[in-house]
Amino acid sequence: MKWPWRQAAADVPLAFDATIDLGPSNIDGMDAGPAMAAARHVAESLPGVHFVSVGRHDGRGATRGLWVRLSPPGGGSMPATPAWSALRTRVEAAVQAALDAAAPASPGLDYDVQHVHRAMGFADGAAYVPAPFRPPPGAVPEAMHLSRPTPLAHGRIMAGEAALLDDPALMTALLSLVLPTDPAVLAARMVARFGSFAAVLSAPVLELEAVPGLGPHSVAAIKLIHATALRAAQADLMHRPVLDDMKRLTDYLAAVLARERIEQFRILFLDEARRLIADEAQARGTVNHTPVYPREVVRRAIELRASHLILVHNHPSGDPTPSREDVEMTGMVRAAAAMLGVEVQDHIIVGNGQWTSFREAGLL
Amino acid sequence: MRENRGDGEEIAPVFAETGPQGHRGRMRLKLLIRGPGALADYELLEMLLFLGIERRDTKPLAKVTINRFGSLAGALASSPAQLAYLGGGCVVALKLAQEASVRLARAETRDRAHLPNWDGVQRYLDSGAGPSVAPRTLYLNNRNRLLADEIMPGDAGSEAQIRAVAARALELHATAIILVGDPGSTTALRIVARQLQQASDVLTLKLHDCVLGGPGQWRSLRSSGQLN
Repeated sequence: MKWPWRQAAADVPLAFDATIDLGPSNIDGMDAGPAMAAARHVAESLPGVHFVSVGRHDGRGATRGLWVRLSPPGGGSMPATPAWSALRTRVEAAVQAALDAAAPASPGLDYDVQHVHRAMGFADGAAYVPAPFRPPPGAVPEAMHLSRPTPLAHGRIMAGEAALLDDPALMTALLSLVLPTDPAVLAARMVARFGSFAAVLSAPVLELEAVPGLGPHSVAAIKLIHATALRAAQADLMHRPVLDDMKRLTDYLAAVLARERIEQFRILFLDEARRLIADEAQARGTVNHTPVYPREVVRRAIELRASHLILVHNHPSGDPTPSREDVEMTGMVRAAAAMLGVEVQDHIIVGNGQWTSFREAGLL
Repeated sequence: MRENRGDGEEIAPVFAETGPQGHRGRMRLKLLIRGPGALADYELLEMLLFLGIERRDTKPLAKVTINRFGSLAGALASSPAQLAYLGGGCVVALKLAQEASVRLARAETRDRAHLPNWDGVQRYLDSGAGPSVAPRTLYLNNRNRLLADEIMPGDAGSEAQIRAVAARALELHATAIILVGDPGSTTALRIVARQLQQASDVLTLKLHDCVLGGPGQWRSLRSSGQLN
């Protein structure tokens, strides 16, 4: 079956936003894995494009389509260049082929590939306003939106320019969501005290509560933004071979650990294809030491059916040079893991703006 | 609200209200006390929507949004235009979280003064950074980077002062301390120094030195053998 809007979607000129929806709307019950893998494989081999993620639209108990998200190598939104339609076609063709391969096993399967660009602008500079999503009736509370002072920063964020705002402006935007008065002065003071917007988000609850002018609503809002940001960053790594993209992995680990003031030990558990299946904080230690019990590390790996491990911990001093204890502990965990057929792939030490990989440093 | 059990004695009920009141407060407590690990993706989104929508159940909207964009991460990465149906405050909250994930990954070079040896200590003290009032305490991390340079609180040499210095060191996650004073405070600083040295093993907190004098003429008690 061909989708009536397929032609219309293909006619949309090149767009800035590079999410490609690949939506055979009836792949329910079919393993979307091969199609996702195919889409990913092609997207990753494309020149001049950074593959962001691939996923399934799961809704109301059914798989309703796939999506592939791409960005320019430096991040941000896609420039409108003619090369885009070629890239799009290649991704679609790969997914179509994967679906074709899967189809014989599912007789009567009704599928097709359609793409809908969530376009924000056309190549000639004209604005394109996408058809707004209409949630089901009753889902959006009517006329109950809060009226609070809207700082200039809110307008910039709504215009997609959050990346251009400085730290005090971002902090002002955040606090304006919870405080009834203009929080610009308070925001500037907090950024100065903790050092940056990111450092405010990472600050312990007790220290935030000690800031005059911050109540439980504000502290909760700060920690909520922090938690959501980390959750989204983690989602970008899950079910992927994380060691293939050290930059993305270390970016995530820096986000989680670089601002911790005491040592924290984490383990990334990987399956036999070295895809991340779990990311767990194991132990918190003190300023210069974390107790690690190899037996417990391995026990958890077995529980999760993991075949590979990546050990991670931070050095609050900011210097990621491994200590003698770090090297010894790695050896002990490796020995324990090897007994049960689990392999330690790497041990990453996160410092401030720098990191050490045991694998790359030849310490494994 | 009180309830009469029939025997004339009133008892306070376990729940003051039986409706949905206090839901947002409970969610906030859950986040702050049990940590974000206790919250599902849709609950985090539900709470983000609290920031833009007043006094209404935002859970259905959170679930609709996750269905629409595939995941919480998918919703955060969507354009403000696509999210516009949530209303301005909610869009700002979601886009703030997305921008936060970018900034959290960014390195921040904190240029902390490095005090690895006597020269470094002298150079720092001569630079005139930090408070000009003595006595002061320099708190260092285990790479001898300066975490804080603060005036010692309380009466010189008092028990309260020693406790305050130790407590502050733990709060800052410092592993070493240097005391700085003018020549007149030698006796008081020696008392503080001796007490801190006694506690150094159990607290993993080293007293590196006790420095006396003024700009250009600092004297180390450590190198003149007057410590330990």
